[in-house]
Amino acid sequence: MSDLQHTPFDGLAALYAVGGLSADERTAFETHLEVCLDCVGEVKSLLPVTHGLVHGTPPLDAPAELRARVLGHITSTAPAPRDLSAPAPTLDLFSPNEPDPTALFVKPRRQGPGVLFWLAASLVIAAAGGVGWQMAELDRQVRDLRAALGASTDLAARAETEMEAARAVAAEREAVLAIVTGSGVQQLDLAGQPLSPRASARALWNDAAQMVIIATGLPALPAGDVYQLWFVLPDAPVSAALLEPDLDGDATVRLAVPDIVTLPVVMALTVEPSGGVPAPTGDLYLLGQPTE
Amino acid sequence: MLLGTLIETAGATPTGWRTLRTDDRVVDRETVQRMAEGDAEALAAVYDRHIRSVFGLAMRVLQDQGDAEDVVQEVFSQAWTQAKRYDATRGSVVSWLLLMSRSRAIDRLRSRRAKPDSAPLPHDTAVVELPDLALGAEQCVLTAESAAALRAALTVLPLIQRVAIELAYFEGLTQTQIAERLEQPLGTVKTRIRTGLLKLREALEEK
Repeated sequence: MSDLQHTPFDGLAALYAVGGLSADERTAFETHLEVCLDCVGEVKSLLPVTHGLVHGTPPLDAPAELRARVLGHITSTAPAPRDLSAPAPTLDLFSPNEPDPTALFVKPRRQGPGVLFWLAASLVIAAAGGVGWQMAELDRQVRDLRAALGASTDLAARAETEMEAARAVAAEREAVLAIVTGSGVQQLDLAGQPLSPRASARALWNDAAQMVIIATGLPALPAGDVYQLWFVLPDAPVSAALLEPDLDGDATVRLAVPDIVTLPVVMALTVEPSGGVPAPTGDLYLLGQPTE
Repeated sequence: MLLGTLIETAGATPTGWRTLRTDDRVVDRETVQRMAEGDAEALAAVYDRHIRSVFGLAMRVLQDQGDAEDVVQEVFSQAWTQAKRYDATRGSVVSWLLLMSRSRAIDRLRSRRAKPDSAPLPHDTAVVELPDLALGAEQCVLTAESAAALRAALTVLPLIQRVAIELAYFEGLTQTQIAERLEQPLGTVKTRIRTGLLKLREALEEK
């Protein structure tokens, strides 16, 4: 294959592997793949990477009722695996050879003994023992039952809380992405200062005065101190946000620019007492100045 | 690190990820074999083991619980009907399920956008013939260590490279659409995606 033949497809292997080609581009590139071993090699080397990306997404609890719905639907409507040789099955096709859908639930998974178990156990115990012992045992069973129900309730509440948190994260991520990747985005870079030579940050904002600050390399602070970001106006600095870096010294924060601030403007990051202060008092860690 | 930090700090704790051990793989393989024989309890077992990963990925792509639940339905239906065709030498069960989840979710996303220009993904074939006929089996099996290395590498990737890769892989945008979204020249987008993927590949090779 000559360079001239390869050139139009240079760099497309990565896009092919990540699914970033249009239909026409993909068709053309696949034709090229038939004659270009270099591109075949690159695609083969990158596909494990793109396949691996699916493993990078945090797991999430699905709604509990989804299990019965999904499994019930599949076993009541989808053809069994042994029917694969049958002509093109569809999900709506009913097959009399399907496994009994109820078989799925013969041994349902439980977090702990169910209510019926406890009730049945109580009856057995009552029949077998003396009244006093029976009452004491029943009391114990009731306590256990309440504890089991309480645990189940806690579990459900925790799952709901996790779901809400995940939704909030997704919404925040989308909000940041919308600003960072939106149209008309402007930016100001903040450089590290003598106390933080490896630190840097970038402020990005859109026409709606929504801003994202992305900082990296911030030194860890002693307990009781916090990073505070400032818009340095001619009259006086205005507090923008508090930054809480992670263990790697990275921090991202989204904020609304106050009406009194006309961007671009000098921005600075200082270290202040926990909770922040109305006006900067501490050392300077980052400074960004608009170019003329 | 930057956007990655944002995405991952609040999304889930590091312990939220389930790592697959060899034992898990064996159990998975045997369970899918039982599925292939029509054992509905095996299907339930696979669901219980992997629903969080499948649902998490579907939510990641679709950002909509109803659509994500529909994708879960499609994925496990497909796994059930195609269990006989699952080839353990070509990848783990969770990879099989996740690739199906991503593919179905992207299909749904593109349908939602109603942009016919988008091509089917190279991975669409892999949904049936896991993961890609052009690949040797040893290249497709992502171990727990590899997955962890990839996640770590993703977090240190420059923000703009990661955004470009994620727009392609998790939002199903073409290079042209990404260039429009990022207001960057097409060549720049192409370079950023390739550079980012090469860095991730290095991380996988080094681990």
